[in-house]
Order: sequence, then C-alpha cells, then structure tokens
Amino acid sequence: MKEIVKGIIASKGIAKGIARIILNTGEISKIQQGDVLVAKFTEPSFTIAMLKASAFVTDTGGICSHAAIIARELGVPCIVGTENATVLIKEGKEVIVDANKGIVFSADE
Amino acid sequence: MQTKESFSLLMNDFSKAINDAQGKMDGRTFWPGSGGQLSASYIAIDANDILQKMSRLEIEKTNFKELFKTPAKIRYVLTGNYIIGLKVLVRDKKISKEESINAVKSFFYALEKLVDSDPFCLKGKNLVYNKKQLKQKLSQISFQKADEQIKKSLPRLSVSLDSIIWSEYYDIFIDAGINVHGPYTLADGNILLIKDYFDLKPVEIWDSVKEFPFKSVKLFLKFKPIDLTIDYLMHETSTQALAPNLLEWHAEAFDEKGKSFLLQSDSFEELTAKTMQVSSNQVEYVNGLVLLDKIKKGAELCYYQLKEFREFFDKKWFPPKEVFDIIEERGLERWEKFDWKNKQKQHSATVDWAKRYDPREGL
Repeated sequence: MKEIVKGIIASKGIAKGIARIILNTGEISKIQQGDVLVAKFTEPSFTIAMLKASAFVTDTGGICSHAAIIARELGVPCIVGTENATVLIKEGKEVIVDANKGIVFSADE
Repeated sequence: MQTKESFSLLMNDFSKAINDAQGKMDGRTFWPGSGGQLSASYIAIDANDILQKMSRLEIEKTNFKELFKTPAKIRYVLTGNYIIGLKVLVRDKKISKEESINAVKSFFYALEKLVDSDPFCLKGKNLVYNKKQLKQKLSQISFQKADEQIKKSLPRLSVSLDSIIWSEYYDIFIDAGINVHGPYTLADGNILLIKDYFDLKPVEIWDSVKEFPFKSVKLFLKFKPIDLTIDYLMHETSTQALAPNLLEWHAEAFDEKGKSFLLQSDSFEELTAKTMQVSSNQVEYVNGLVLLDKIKKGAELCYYQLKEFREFFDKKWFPPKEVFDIIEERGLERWEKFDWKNKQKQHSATVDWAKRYDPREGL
C-alpha cells in the first residue's frame, strides 16, 4: 500500500473510508457516515461531522487536541500533527487510516 | 505555608506537570484563539485583581473550596493569566518578585486544600474525593451495565457535552464549566471517571444558551482497568479507546433550581442532538463576532472562571471597565502578536514551560 502521510497516534485503530478535506465549518456537511475527516485542525463546530466519521486526520494538533479527545472517547482511529494531510490526501479518494502505526495509506495503490 | 525548600520542591513538580500537559498540545489549534491572543492585553489587570483579593484573606483560615469550587480552576488560572500577569507586574515595578512568589505560594496552598493528594496530577489522577467521600458518593448512586448500544450512545453524549463546554468557554477557560476527576481505583480493581459538567448554561455570558435544558450533568463512568490518566489541564489520555472498555454508568442532570433528573439511556440520543444543536449555534455565533468582541467575551469568561472568588469580595464578578478599555486599545495588536495558527512549527514544543511559569524567573 502506498503511504500518503504520517503523524502522531492520538487514538489507535484502523479504518477505511472516503477522504473528505474539511477546511472550514461550512464544509462539514460533506461528511457522510463512514467517511474519513481530514482537516487542518478541528474546532467544536466540527463535532457533528466527527460523530459520523470513521477516522480523523489533522495537519496540526497534539494528543490532547479536540480531535484526539473526541476520537478516544468514541473509539475512532485518529492521527494528528501530520503537517500536510490536507494537501497530500486527495478529496474523494479511499484511504486507510492506520492509527496503530500513525500512517495514512492509499486504499487503491 | 511553604518554606523556601518546600516551595522549590513544589515548583519542580509544578514544572513537570506543565511540561507534560503542554507537551501534548499544539498551540496552533486553540479556538477561537490562544491564551495570549485573548488575554495578553489585560493580563496584568486580572493578575493584580486576584493578588489584591488573595492578600486580604487570612490564608490558613480560609475555606478555599467555597471560593474556588474545583482544583481545575486554580490550575487553569495559574497557567492562564496569573503567573504571567504577576511577572508583568514585577517587570513594571508594581510589585516585587518576592510578592509574586508569595502570591504563587498562596495559590499552591489553596490548591492543596481542594484535592485529596497530588495537586499537580503527576500520578495521572485528579483526585477530588478522598476514600470516605468516594464511598459515600457511590452509596448514593446505582450503576447500570453498559451494553453495546450504551457503548455507542453514551460516548456520543459525552462528546457532545464536551463540545458545548468548548463552545461556551473557549478552549482555554473550560475549567469554568467542567471538572473531570479520577480515575478512582475501585475495590473491584476497575476505575471510575467522573465528568462533572457543572455549568452548562452560563447565561450571564451567552443569552443564546438559555434553551439548553439542564444547568449541569454528571457522568459516572466505570471502566476496565485501562491506562487512563488525567493531567494538570484535565486532559484524559489513554493508549486504549474508552468506549469499548466501559463497564457501567450512571448519569444525572440538574436544572437551575437544583432539581435532579436521573438520565436514562433512552434519552441519550435526544439530549445529544439538543446539545449538538446548541453547541453548533454557539460556535457559529462566536465565529461571527468581530475580533474585539471575541476578545471582550473572552475577558468575561476569564473573570467568570473565578465567579465565586470575585463575588466574595466585590459582590460581582464582571470585569471592570478598564479591562474593556485596554482591550479596545491593545486587543488587536496582542491578537496578531500571539497568533500561532500560521507558524510552521508546533508552538508548544518550542517553549520552555517550566521557566515561563516560574515566578522566580523573569518574563
């Protein structure tokens, strides 16, 4: 599998889903059940979308950022601090978030 | 009060705790802004107000639990405005370094009165109840088993309540609305986490949240003995997900009049939906504020954090006019100066936190 980006493991687990790049609150309606939410960082307004997502990947953030805390509570895989996930992961592509290793892979390569 | 040697030991522990907690964060992600962006313009005014009030107390006779309510408030204020504000006052020759050190000593003393042990959570626990208090509390509640449906719906409720707290208090003042304590080790070897959302309706600050049905909600969550820890800033961390390890639960809510409601599992989805609605509206409202108003609301939240403490002296908690005047004068410049969002490197990793929060060190 082709590795796309690496980051800090915030919540372990593995999930596969369609990547949706969310750059602001106005885009959260893009997230459908099971999608992978990819963002620069998350703020409280993203929570409603996070409740549908199968995994979270963020550019910034540590293991105590919003995304990390919510992920661990829900038991959802989460990788933070990737620096450039929102650039390297392509909208609409299927990805595998391996938060046991802290790596996002392309699902079809 | 502490001797010079015992204060040094406390400062070592304090520094370790801050380094640990701050090291898990990324200063680029605070909403709606960082502590510096929100508070730097009035930090000295706030610190001086707290200092003057503390100096009027007979420290060893004071009931600090009544004044501060939770240890988190003291921890957040220490690493929020207080120590940095004291350093500004020293720099500007308004107080001596000795006075600033004594001010921190008093706060450490107060903090020790609000916990059973380990005031800085170095052992990964925030223990508000001692063994006797915990036993008494457990005798008053009855737990229900967590089936697979509860393991999905209760975490969703918890996450939505976390979100409403963030939306109402900004990231940096959450101690004004929530106290997460534990994990307490139980007799059966399992662990108990208590999430006390004690102020979910700060209507004195946000009129928009008055539609939320409850003033407070308490979640008592019994988990398998996983490696769950709570740090100085109330962050819960674990290498394992919480939801699959939930064994039993108890949930209760209170309205503004103190009337209690036992929350049953069939109410979780509806309450989650309502919480998310209020939270989303609140975030939209805050995001729509002009910058100076965001900062001014932040000042209200900052002062509301120590509501009971301020009301004890002044019969009111609201910030004085000089706070808003100085925000008008310097608020935007400080917002720009402490904007870490566009920095390349993770801000938290580049700061010497121990030095920053040591009153014996300069600014």
